[in-house]
Amino acid sequence: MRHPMFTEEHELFRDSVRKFVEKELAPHAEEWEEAEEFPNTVFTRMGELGFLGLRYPEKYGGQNCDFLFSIVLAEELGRSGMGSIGMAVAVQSEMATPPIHKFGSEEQKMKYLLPANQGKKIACLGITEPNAGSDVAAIQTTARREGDQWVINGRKIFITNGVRADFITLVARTGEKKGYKGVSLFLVDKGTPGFTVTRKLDKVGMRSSDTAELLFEDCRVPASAMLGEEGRGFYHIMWELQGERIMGAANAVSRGQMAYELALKYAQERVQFGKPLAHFQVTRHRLADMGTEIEAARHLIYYCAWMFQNGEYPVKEISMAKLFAAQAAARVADAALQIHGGYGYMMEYPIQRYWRDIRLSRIGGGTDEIMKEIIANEVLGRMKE
Amino acid sequence: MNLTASRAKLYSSEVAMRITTEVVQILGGYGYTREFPVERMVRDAKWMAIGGGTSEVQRLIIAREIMKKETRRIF
Repeated sequence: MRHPMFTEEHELFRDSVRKFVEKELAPHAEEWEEAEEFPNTVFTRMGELGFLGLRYPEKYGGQNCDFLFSIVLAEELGRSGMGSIGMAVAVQSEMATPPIHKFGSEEQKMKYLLPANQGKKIACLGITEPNAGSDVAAIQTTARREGDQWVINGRKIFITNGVRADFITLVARTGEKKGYKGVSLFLVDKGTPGFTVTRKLDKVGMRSSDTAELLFEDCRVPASAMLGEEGRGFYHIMWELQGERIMGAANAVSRGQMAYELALKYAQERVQFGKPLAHFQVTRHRLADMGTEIEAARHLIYYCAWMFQNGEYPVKEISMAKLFAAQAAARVADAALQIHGGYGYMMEYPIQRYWRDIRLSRIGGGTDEIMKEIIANEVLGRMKE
Repeated sequence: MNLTASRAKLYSSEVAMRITTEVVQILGGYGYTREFPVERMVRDAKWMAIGGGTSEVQRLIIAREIMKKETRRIF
């Protein structure tokens, strides 16, 4: 976590988040994971502390901070013992709300952005559908104009915060039937007739995060519910994914670091064949490799953060960092579980939760496969079909 | 500093070996001839994991350093 780009202010912020996580989040990890839900008060409390919407202007409940503060937050939330927290906050502050800040009307900012940053309204982002994941252009949810209303029909799946959210930043097709054009954004309130949560999804990991399947059946919203320009929905949304990928990667590496620290501790305590595991070369070398990989992943992320902070938009490096971080964290978590032996396989030991939570990193926020496609396209140009 | 230096040496030398091996593979049969410079790159990379402290010694150093420094109380 040492890098010349972090100033004393960043370090002070890191300290205050770390204290908050140690005192108010980490001790509840087992309880909230068991309940399959962390309480809404996590959002309100973080809103109080000014941890949500860090980069937005104060007028909209933000702290006017730079990008590196968001990186620090993502790293420190990874120390909560739950991948769920970092993921939920990322959606709240870095995915569902940036388009509101950038493309919303003043009214929309006051109604949605401000309370989201205060932790008073919980947000979710509705892109993915049962038949459109990596193939984002294939989305089929439609919004049909009728007088001064839009009528929305469709389904969304894998929507983080979707069960408890007060509103959704929704992607729906208003124009052309296929492709990236003809798609628009809408802000839809929970409770709008025709908008229902059909299922809370039962996931392998991130179990304290609520993930929803949503249904829109002739859901009517006023014309004012459109966010930004009609037909520009994809462009309004896609630009923000790059920043979010760096933060997701930082959070994953932080959790990989935690898994590594658990293994480091266990290896020095567990005695077999008359010696602690940390005495045996296989374990020593494995731990050496684990720490090395985490460090390498971290610095690739820091490089991207530095470039992003300087106003650059390094799509290739960001994809590399996300790909590498997710894969490294997964390898480290698996090795950490292995070091724990039989106890690593028990639900009563925390390492299994890190292992299960980290597994999502290679899928969520852009799969490994899509990252590789992006990198290859950047380097080689797109191949014609 | 020992820790960071050892990590950097270990990691970069092993990456060099992996990548140059893959490069020869990509060039196929040509990659295996001395007409092309890539097989020399593999032979050169192999030395990187041995000279200046073998990868095994680097792991010894790293393990010793992390046992000292990096164990923190975990809640």
